[in-house]
Amino acid sequence: MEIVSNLLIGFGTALNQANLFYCFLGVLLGTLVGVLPGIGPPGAIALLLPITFHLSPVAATILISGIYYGAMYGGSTTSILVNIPGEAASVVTCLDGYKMARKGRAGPALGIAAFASFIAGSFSLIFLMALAPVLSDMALKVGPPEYFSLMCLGMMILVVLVRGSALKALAMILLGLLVSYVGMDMVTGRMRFTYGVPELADGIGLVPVVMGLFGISEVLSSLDESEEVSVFKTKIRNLFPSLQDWKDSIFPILRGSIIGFFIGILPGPGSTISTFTSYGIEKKLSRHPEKFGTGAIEGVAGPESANNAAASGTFIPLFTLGLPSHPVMALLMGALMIHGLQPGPLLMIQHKEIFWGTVAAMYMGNVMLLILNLPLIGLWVRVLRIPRKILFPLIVLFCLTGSYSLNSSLFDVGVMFFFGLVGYFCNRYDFEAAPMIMAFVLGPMFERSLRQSLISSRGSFRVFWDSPIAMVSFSILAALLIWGGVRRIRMKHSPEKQVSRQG
Amino acid sequence: MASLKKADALAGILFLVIALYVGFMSYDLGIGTLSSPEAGFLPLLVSILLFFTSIFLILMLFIRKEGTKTPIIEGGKGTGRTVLFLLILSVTYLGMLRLVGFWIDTFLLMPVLYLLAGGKSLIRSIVFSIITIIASYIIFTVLLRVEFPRGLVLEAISWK
Repeated sequence: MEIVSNLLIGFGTALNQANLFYCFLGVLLGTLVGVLPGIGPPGAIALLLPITFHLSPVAATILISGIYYGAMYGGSTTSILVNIPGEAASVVTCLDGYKMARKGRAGPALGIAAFASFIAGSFSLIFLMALAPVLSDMALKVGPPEYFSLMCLGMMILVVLVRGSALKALAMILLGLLVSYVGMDMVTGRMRFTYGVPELADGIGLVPVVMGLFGISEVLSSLDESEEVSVFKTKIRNLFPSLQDWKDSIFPILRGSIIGFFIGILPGPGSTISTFTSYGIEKKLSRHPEKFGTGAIEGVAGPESANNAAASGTFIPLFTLGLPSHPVMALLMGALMIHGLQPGPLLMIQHKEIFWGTVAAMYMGNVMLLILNLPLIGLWVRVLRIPRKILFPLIVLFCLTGSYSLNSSLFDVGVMFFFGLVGYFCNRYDFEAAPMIMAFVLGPMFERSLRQSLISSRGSFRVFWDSPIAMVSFSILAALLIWGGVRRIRMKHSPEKQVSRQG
Repeated sequence: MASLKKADALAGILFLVIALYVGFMSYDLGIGTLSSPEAGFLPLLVSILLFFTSIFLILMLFIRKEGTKTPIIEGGKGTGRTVLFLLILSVTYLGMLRLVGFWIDTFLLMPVLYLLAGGKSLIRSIVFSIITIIASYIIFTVLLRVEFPRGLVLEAISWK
């Protein structure tokens, strides 16, 4: 019953005229970001972050979350029509979606992508509503040693699950932590790595770092690519899938929703991993696995539902533990903290309207997205044709105004340019920026929890073994390290690898 | 692949230098004891981890004889020049910001970016710049009331 009454509070908040507008704006911008290859949800949210500081905390959360799950919807359009994923979570959709479009079935592919996203989005919200309050009650009993162990585990999962080199991901996490320690030490009041620069006393700001790493660097990287996007020309008709399409897709959608939600809870690129997992499972379960990769509708329905469900799953660690598991959640956390709110279990009790208002807005946002993505598909196809000579200067302009407007500081503009170059070289040489951002956001909390744990235990590391949560977390961490090592050795000695080496 | 290997080696050396530098600086800040950690405690811990990570990163290059198989974005011939140009552009932009102010400086930057991103017509780039500057002035200064630096030149004129 409590869920129902809380949901009513949520709908009461979300149906407010202003919040409804920000929900629409969020999903509209999200779809736009998803459709446009290049700039992903973290970059887009970073661009809009300074604007959210003028909004109420609920409106800011609704806007940011709208952009995030909206991008999951929009990403499929580019995958199906251009064979270029709008963002990482739509890579798998290219495999069968584009093939369907080539066979003249772009309509059903786009249609099932939108319906799968809608169904998974709605399903995962039920999971979110059921799990978040229970977990937040448990999280109230969590102290500094548990937080420290959970953060260590989260970062290790990120290292293990990252698509490239684990060592590079670890290096990026450590760099992110070091960057977060610039500024005044909150315990002793001593300045660290500030070199007498007054602007560094409060630390390096999240907004210029994110804008540089995701906005400026994206523009720089795209300048390396000479080709403009060419849209596959086809008539888009029969957006409503046939009965046979539904029969083929309904179970992949349901499975994708469950897989996506639970993978989304894990730190790291949950939405991307969930799509690969869903695709793999559907191929294994299919009676015609040979059809996958040639335009099978299940290959679109499963991954598209998984990435949307994963988007809802990422809210769990932030709202229950106050730990962001995705760069977008780190930005949301930053936005809430600027409003003086600390995400975590207490937020769900003291500011119910924020969590439940966001959940209710997500229900409405899903409906809005269905309307935006089906009848207005022609508009999004046109958006795909925006030339980059217009798009890139606009992104730079947004980065400039955004990074300056927060603190009216020219220093922040310089920081943004610096991290833009850092991000560019990271992109170019396969160092992922996302782990760095996560560590940068978690850094102060990571330090505080370790120091508090050690002070309370008078310097004894036993504090981590005495707590069951910390002990379990460190045991999982150790198991992950072993598993990650074994997996990489196996991959190295696998026959395919041997063949590719010889080839 | 050779360029990627070289880049990995350079990154490993850079991380090593950062780790050593931060380690020494943390020592100066004061490490404290386990029961009373000081300001340099965690930076030192992280720098030690970074030190070993960078050593492994460099060692892996020698172990992995065939080089890494991870895909990278291959830049065109002019990539280095583009980045250098953009670096100079951003430094110039920042340098001029105090002098001519945000809007004039950004107005001058926009056509350059337009042309750099593949635009051909100078007139179109200027028209594009005027439209975007006016639109963002309305959004940020008029609607959101964000004050941007007016620049020393404009300040001096308004004083007279």
